[in-house]
Amino acid sequence: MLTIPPLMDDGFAGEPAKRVLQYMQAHKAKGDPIVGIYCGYAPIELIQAMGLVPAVLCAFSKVPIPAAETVLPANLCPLIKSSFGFIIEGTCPFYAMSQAVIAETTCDGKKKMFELIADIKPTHVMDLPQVPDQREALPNWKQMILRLQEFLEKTFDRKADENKIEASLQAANRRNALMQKIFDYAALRPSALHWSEMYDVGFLALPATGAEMAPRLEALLERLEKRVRDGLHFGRPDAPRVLVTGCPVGGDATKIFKVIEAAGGAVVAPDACTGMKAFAGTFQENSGDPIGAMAERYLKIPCACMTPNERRLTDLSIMIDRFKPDAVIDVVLQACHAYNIESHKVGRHVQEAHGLPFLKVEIDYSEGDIGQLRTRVEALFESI
Amino acid sequence: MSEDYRLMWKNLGLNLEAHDMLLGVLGNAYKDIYLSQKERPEGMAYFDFVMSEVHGLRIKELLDEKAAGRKIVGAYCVFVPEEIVLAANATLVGLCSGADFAIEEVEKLLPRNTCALIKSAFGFKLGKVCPYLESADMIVGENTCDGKKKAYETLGQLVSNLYVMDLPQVKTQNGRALLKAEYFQFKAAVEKLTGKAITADSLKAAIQTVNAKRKAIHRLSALRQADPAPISGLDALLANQVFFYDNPARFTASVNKICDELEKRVEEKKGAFPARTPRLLISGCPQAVPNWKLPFIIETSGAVIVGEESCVGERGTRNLTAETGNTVETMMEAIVDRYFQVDCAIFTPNPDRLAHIEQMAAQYKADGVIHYGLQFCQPYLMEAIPVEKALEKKNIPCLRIETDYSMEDAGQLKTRIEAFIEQIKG
Repeated sequence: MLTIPPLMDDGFAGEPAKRVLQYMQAHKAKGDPIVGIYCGYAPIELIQAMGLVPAVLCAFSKVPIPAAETVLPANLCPLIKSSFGFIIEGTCPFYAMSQAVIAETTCDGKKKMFELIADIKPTHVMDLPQVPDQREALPNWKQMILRLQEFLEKTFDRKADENKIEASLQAANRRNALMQKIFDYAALRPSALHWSEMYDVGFLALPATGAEMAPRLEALLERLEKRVRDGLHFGRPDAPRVLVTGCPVGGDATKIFKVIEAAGGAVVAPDACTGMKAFAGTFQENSGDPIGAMAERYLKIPCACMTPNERRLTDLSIMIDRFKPDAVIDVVLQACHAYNIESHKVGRHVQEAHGLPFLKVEIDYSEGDIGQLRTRVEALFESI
Repeated sequence: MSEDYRLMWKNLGLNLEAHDMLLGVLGNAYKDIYLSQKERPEGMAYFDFVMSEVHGLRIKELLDEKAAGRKIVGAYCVFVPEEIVLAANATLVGLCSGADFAIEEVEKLLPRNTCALIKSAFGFKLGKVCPYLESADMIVGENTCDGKKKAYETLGQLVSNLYVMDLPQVKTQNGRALLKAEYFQFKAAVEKLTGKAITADSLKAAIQTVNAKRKAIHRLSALRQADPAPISGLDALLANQVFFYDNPARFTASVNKICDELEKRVEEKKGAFPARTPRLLISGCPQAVPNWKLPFIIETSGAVIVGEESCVGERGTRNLTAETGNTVETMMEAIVDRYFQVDCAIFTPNPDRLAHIEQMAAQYKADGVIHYGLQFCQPYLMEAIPVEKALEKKNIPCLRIETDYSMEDAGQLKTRIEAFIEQIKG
């Protein structure tokens, strides 16, 4: 990897959070209000249509966890503990610059954690349906987006009409389509795109508007095309290709990607809210009901908080066909019941429908389990 | 147990050997925990009998009902409205979930760090030891917590008759509308199961039956305000547990009979424990049969439990369904209103629960509160934080406990609880 010039050569290669911080600071300097978000269900296209900037809040460092554990149960997922620790210690710059926070009733842990921080900053909780295919789910979720719009209007005194929201959706579609083209380079065998580059691009592409991102992404695509022409790729050509699914993975949790590489594998498809999931799907354009179109696209996110979430298996199959992994690793953050329990179904699907080896790992943000993870990943690769 | 039952259990598909073992353990636990208590009300003999026949006579009754054309609906949660089930000519029973069973088998399907209650429900199925589950024509799951919501996806592969009900998480108009839609769908599903349409008359009668049961429990609870407490927390918990199993009319009559006796006891200042015994309230996760660990430790450590803020307790029984409606529609609305008030920790925010705990502490003159959290039950473990804060403000001592169904921590729990009781006596 060292011989390949970084895809984004802006001085932040491999440090997506720093890049995003710079982006946020630039917007703040221009006087754009910033809204903190935690989750892939936060409708960023609406936020952007209102002239606000969504900032993904800190949740991926082990550092604030001991502080969080003075209040929270230790038996809680590290993402929630880290988020909470950042807030009570005041160490998350994105939280500090946010004037309000958007929360969702995704999992029990987050839902109850938001109650504990609701009095610190204006916090708006979106009631997320759990059964997306139920008749009431779509109208309910659309209403939740409308409520969010009211909250943002009131809090920031900004408005967005339907035309602005429609334009925001169309720009997001363009951005997502370009992101998919970028991911196609990871699908190549051998892969011409590194997971850390997917993170570099993705972490910026999420909060930035489609209009801001489109020219940048087109430039990156030219570079990637050149890489392929020059015959550059990551890892050994015969390295076992791994699709990593499951919980969000960032910061200290990316140890799992590093372990996979150290064991000789290549992470070709990080499928998670922190990876490709955020750029999946398409908003219906010119529907005459952009908020409805938004609701529809967001409800299709196959998060394990949904039940029965068969969509996750369907989407996994499509990804397996596209990225042609040799193995699937399901990353479960400790005490994340939804992904943990669902792993049983995912494992069966991967093995039975695709005949692929499957490994579930339950990790936290510490370094204590790296040796053991390495052994298990190596054993997985031996079975290929 | 007679041979009759063995044949019955065999026909239900139970694993007789494992089931014998379970009944053996259950019988011994009951003897050690319940029958060893002193100063028990005579009326508790009824519950002793119920417990001795909990997998016997009661199951036979259910099977007789089935033979006569009634359907049996099994449920895991107090959000499943018994009124609807009864009105459609079916019987609702609580499903087994208070003890570890077949843990090895369970952990092939569920993560080890899933709460004991969920694992237990699976254990009873996989170990083939729950005659209620096997008798049920319909098993109702509900999207309460993450663990249950996702576990039902797996349980659906183990049983053929699982019906899952969605629940709201926020108490808004939307939330209520969701609950209403779910209850109407559930009504249709039960009607389809039994082939009997719910009528205004049948629904009214069902509401009255279930309310009568609740009122009997309210009466029992109110008597526990007295000092000395006329009944132990263990015995009162048992009545709350049997609430989910017994024939409703018989249960109501039996509890009322105990209350008659307890009224006399209160008059005579006769208690299950001496006057001025430290009084504790338990708040938190449900305690299903035979999960008697915590109350047993508390009541053998010098305190008496005077209330349960729990689904197996006052959270589950406190509100009545309005009986004023005369059409199915208005009564269904009343049912939705009643259940929408249940202040389970799955709701966000859930301020009613804090208020209710404070209210119960005052009403039952509790000297302290023990917050009971099952390991890995995030909603209750998280909510314990504001509960403790709210109680602190009122100068009510609170002890947060996190445990499971095993006895491994019994010694440690006893030490902590004894220290807490000492602190209260101060």
